[in-house]
Amino acid sequence: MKPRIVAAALIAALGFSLTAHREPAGADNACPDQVVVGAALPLTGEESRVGGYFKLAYELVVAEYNKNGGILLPACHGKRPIKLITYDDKTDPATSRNLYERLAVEDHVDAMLGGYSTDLIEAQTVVPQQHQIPYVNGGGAATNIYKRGFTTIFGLLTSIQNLAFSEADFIEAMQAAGKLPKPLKIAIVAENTSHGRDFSDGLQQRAQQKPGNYKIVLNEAFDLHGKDFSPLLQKVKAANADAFMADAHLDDYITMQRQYKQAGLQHKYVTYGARGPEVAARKALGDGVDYIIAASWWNQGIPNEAVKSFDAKWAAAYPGQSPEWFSALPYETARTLFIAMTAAGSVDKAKVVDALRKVDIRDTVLPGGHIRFGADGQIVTPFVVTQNLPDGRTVIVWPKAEKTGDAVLPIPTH
Amino acid sequence: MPATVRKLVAGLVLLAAAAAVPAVVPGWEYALDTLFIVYLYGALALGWNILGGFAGQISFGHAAFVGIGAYATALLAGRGIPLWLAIPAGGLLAAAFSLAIGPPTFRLRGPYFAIATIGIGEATRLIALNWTALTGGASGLTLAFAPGIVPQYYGALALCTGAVLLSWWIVTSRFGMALAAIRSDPEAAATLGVQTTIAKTQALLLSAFVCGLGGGVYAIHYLFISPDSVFGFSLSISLIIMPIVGGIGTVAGPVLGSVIYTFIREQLEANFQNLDLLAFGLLLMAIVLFEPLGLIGAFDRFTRKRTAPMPPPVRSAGAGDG
Amino acid sequence: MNDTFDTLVNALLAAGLYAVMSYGLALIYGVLKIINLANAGVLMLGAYATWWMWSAWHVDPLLAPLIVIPVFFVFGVAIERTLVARVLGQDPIVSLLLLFGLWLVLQNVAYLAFTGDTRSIDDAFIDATFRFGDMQVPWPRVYVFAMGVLSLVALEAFLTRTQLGRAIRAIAQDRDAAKLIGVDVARVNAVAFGLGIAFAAFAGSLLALIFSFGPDFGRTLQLKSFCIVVLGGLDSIVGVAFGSIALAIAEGFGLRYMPASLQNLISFVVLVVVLIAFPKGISGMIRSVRNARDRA
Repeated sequence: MKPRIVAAALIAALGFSLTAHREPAGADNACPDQVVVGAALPLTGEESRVGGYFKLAYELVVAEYNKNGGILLPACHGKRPIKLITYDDKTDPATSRNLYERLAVEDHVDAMLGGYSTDLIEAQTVVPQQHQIPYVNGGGAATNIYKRGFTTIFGLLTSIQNLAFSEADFIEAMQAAGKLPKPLKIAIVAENTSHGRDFSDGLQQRAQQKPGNYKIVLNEAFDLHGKDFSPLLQKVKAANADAFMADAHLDDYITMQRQYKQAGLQHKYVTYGARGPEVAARKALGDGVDYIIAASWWNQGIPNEAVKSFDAKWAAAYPGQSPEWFSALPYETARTLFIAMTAAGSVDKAKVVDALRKVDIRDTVLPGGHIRFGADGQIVTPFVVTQNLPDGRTVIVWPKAEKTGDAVLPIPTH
Repeated sequence: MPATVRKLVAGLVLLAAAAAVPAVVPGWEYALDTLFIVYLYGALALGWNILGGFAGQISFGHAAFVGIGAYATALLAGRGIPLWLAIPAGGLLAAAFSLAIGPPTFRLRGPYFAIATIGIGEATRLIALNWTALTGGASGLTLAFAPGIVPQYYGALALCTGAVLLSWWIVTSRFGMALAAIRSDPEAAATLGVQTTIAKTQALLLSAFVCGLGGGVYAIHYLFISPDSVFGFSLSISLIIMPIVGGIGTVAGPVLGSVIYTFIREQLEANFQNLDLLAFGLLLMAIVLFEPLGLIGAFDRFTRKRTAPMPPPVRSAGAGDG
Repeated sequence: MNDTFDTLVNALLAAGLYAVMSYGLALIYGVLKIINLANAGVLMLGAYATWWMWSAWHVDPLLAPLIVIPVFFVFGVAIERTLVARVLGQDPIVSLLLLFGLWLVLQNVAYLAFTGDTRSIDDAFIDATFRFGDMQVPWPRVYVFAMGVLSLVALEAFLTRTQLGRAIRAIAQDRDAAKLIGVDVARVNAVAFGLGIAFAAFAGSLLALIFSFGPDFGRTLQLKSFCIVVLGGLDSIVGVAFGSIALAIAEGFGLRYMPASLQNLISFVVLVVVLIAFPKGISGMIRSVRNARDRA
């Protein structure tokens, strides 16, 4: 029996050796030699296009700060360089959560930047909440993220419910101008996540408030990152709607729109929620993305000076990579965190969280020009509604203040 | 018997050492975290092993029980039910589910059974994904509160110890002998008077209960569960890999498998995530080809010491038939 | 009436797809009596091979099978000779675990080689459609259906008219009797496995024309394949065609009355019902009935 005991001892030794080579956590230092922030991003997997941009944006902000000596921390009497740690969560929520745990427990980050998108953010935010680490994200818009009573979580994407309302406002304006029928028969197709539920809830709410404007003829959910939407689109065809209103992420948008075109579907109004003008979609589908309406958190064509100079800055840093909303939002996210840190004076976590709660930034490229978090940690900003034109341009068609072109509605039939 | 006493002493020493860790290294969260995962996955592997190793019914869909335990615990805890009730409730629910699917699937022979288990695992995942009102769909559920890492650590240790004791009891009991008979030759076992379906169902019940409990413990640690994370095929895969790598049908094997699995994943998680699954796939193939009893089998062979003749985990019959 | 016509046409197209995916499974089970759990992995690799040849060397995806099929046939024979042959005499679970391990390896080799990013073939043919009645039908799906029918005809011809094919059928019916009449079982095993793998890769190559994919591709489809071969009888090629049509029609019409996202659940329900009611599949049941009647 001795060998078995030896085996057991070996198991035990192996087990404890797992833990032997890490040092125990030091005391929380409010004025360390460098400020460490971390994020887990989908650098591979279904959301890799957007995740890649997030990394570029975070790195741009950190480089800007470090070029000038780092981030100013008044209570620490000077500037500290910023160290950014990024991991690849492969677009998997469980992996994302584990990597944020690693950032907290092994890398001992002072603060966390968020990843992308809603389902990953829902998973990863349990970690900063549990460890009471300040966390700011520019990639999760579903209201559910902020309705769980978490106290250290802040987000710069305004909610998908607001997105639905913005599009509804636009539709009503188009109905008043005679460009869309009233009531508008809508087929709602939303991903089976908090993100998608926000969208369909928002539209249903508006339809209940204004029954003369809307008639919902289909309301279905589909699996996130699905590969085959033809059964779903068969149902859409049978529903005979005027408007096809989907809520999807980039990969599903491309797959669904491709299969939509293949099935020969046509509607007077087509939207994929926040998706539409992405360069990747234009490349994959060509004229298949013409006339699609989108409600976006930011667009490079917004006609003001701040946006123009951001476009130029991005083009200089990353030539050939067109600035999309997922360039500007993570950029402002990182900036907001560092501004809050400076306001807090040090990297003391509780003070930074407090500073984030009170943050009030007027110099920003976001629509509405004002960064300020609601009581639940989520920002409230207006959307811009865009349409893709056949000549390859994307124009902003709503609201009037940011308009750069007229909407072509109803969508012309061939 | 001296052998049993020696095993008991060794086990107690290990247990004492494990229990002492939080006191010896206070605040060392990384250590407690990692050991927690070893205990949790060890318990899950032991749970699978009851059906797969002792009874010889290889299930490719065991994540179903983990998922049910996890969601039950999360939903009950969300309604204010204390954890010491919610987690066992999860285990019981998983066991009840196993009662429903056991008898029909046990009628199936050979590859049909394996296919059925894949189907069950996938079906529970799809149901969790689509029953949005109950489960939150793809967005999953988050738990608002969890006990600190130290109580979690002891909880997982207790679960793992319990699973070890249960396995040890099974191996040394008449029930275990019946299962061994079923494992090596179900028809012969039946002629000898073993109630095969009842025995298999009992094994399944215990297996499901342990995995359901594990699911509950998973939920309170990770605080986030989703259909893909707790019902997913990758979890079912890990529940097969651990016992087979460590030594299927033994008591120490699944725990050893959990240590190795956790160790490799920890090292590779941040940077080379897919290397670990690649390694496990290769390990699995190597074990199936050369040493069906896994690392424990290799170890025993190396020390040229086999204990009382253990029926082989797989029949060496003629041409395999459906 | 239009709606039903639409549903039927779509179901038929889907059936062709399912059948192509499942022939390989049926062939391997018929001869070697093992379930090829690595089927999904090979499917996925066939898709990747086609995509890679298109994106790196601009090989027309329609011509890709000319390379994919022979390469994967050789791969399959090699796997059979080196790995599968060793475990054929043992309990079926051993081969199941072995091939499952192989699937893990294939999947993660793909992750390492191609990352988890979603891939798709953006070719003009992919988006081409034509009008059929008042329906718009995508060409790739019709092409896959045609390949499904062609494969069925070719396979049946191979099995009935060639010596190797007859040897395969002999072994499938009664291995020992086949040995007695001098069939070289080892050689036939290798060829059958190779063919099964080649088929799976061919199916992957076709599916790449329709779907975008990542390394996890094939897992949900695999479950449908299982359902089909169980429905049709694990070792019957014609049974596979029958099972594919049955499943596709069940899904198509079921879709009318349930949310689209539950469609995959249909295949599972069918699987469970059939397994419980017909443990030998429908073809198996027909065969038993026929045997019983012959004996009477």
